[in-house]
Amino acid sequence: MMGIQRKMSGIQKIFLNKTVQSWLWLALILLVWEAVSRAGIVNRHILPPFSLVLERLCNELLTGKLGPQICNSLLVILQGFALSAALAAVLFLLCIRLPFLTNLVTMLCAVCNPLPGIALLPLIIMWFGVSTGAMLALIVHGVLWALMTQMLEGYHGIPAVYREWGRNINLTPMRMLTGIVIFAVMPGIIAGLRIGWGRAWRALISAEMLFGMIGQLGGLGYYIYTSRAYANLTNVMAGVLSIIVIGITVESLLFAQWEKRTIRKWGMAHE
Amino acid sequence: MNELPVVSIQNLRKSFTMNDGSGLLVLDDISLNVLQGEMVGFIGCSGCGKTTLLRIVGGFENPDSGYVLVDGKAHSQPEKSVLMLFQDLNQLLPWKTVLSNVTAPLLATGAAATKKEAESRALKRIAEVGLEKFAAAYPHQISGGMKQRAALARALALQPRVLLMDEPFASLDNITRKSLQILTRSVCEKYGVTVLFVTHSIDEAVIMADRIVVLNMNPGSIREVFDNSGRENLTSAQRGQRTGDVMASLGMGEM
Ligand SMILES: Nc1ncnc2c1ncn2[C@@H]1O[C@H](COP(=O)(O)OP(=O)(O)O)[C@@H](O)[C@H]1O
Ligand SMILES: [Mg+2]
Repeated sequence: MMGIQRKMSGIQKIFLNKTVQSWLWLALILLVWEAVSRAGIVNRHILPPFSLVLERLCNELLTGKLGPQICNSLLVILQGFALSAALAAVLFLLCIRLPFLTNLVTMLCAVCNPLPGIALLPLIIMWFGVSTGAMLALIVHGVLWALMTQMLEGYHGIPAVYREWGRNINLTPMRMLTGIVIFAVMPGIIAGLRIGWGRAWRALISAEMLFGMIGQLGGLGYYIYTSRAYANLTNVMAGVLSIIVIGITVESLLFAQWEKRTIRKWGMAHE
Repeated sequence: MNELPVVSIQNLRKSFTMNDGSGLLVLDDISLNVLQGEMVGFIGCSGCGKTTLLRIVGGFENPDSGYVLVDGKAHSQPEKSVLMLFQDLNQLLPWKTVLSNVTAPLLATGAAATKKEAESRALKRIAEVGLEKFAAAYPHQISGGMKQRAALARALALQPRVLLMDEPFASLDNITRKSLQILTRSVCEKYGVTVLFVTHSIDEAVIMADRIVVLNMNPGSIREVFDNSGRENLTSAQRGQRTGDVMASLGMGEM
């Protein structure tokens, strides 16, 4: 090992770095995209060059045509997450205090968890109308069951020895909850929210495209939808690009950082 | 001696209901008095009810009949004056550092009024078990032996009257186990903690215990109690003799 490493030059080491490799691949793909489009191999109206999409994205952001849409989508999703978290907390506490409810909630999770939100959309529209409420319902459906499943699984997997120690030093139920249970189910909370984020983000964009305008602004999905209606492929791609960027940011910044600062630091992340 | 025993175990009997509905008698009529500062080691084969006995003494489990007194008062629920050191190497809370694992219970139980007071007491106990360099480490960053040391510090910091240890060193390597046996004995002596421990190692019993209780199997009952006083000053021949006696009592004489 040492011998091999010593023979490697600095540049070789950089190229072996996984992150560097990913960025290089990405750059290559974008370059090919750019070249194919600019050389006219594919019609520019079907595949606008990447540089144009990027420029359009910046332009739309600067002129305030895309920013409010993005904010609108993010705001709805944030509200949905807050609502889901509150519901999950209440259900979780109920399950802990009244164990017979656990079976009910587990059963509900098992039934609802595999159900794609989009499949519920007709029902949701009937119940909530084409409204922000419908969007929230869709997001809550995407987040709540995944979160509940993970939290309850985590709860039942808490090593008995943690609780017995708590019992031994006569912790009150409240302290047991805030000092032991919450931390012990943290891997489940993070995993659940992560799955929930993936589902909710997809469902929201899809629903926005189906519904069209909701509220004053419409979201990112609506932006893509209207751009397509005007056959403005560059704008469609700018919208798609922002979806990707937001997805990656939330995943690798928010969740990865949260994980790194908690369960990874504590040695509780199961690889 | 008419000194009041710290732990008084009276006619404990316990059976478990098996899956087929039949009852399994695990402990049969166990009685024993343990004096202040005494270290009593229970030894017996795997499955003879050692863990069950200790859990009943700790109040984690109820006996079918009989009772446990601590300082003359009935003890049927876990209490912080009677602490259990588990066999599980992962009994520390993984989201807390070693220091915070020792400090948090002091604050939660009101044993220390301020965080500062709790930390200074915790650091002393941590140093006593030789972990001062690892106070800031998380449990997953230290070895099994160190985790058990930390668990010992966590328990001692709460100044328990009685410490119960369920094969606390069973899953450690020989060298680590030896040093932990000696350490445990000396810190428990220092604080006058009364200790009941369970082991399946005769050596461990002879090194640590003032009295060695040999348990029968099926159902678990007391076969013989050996006086192991003066254990620090035994010649190796005497120690060999005692080990031999316990072995013979366990029915391992021919081996
Ligand atoms: N909760 C329980 N339910 C049923 N049987 C049990 C339970 N706990 C222990 N036992 C049985 O009681 C016997 C003694 O167990 P234990 O006290 O753990 O023994 P030891 O610690 O000496 O190995 C074993 O046969 C075990 O299977
Ligand atoms: Mg056992």
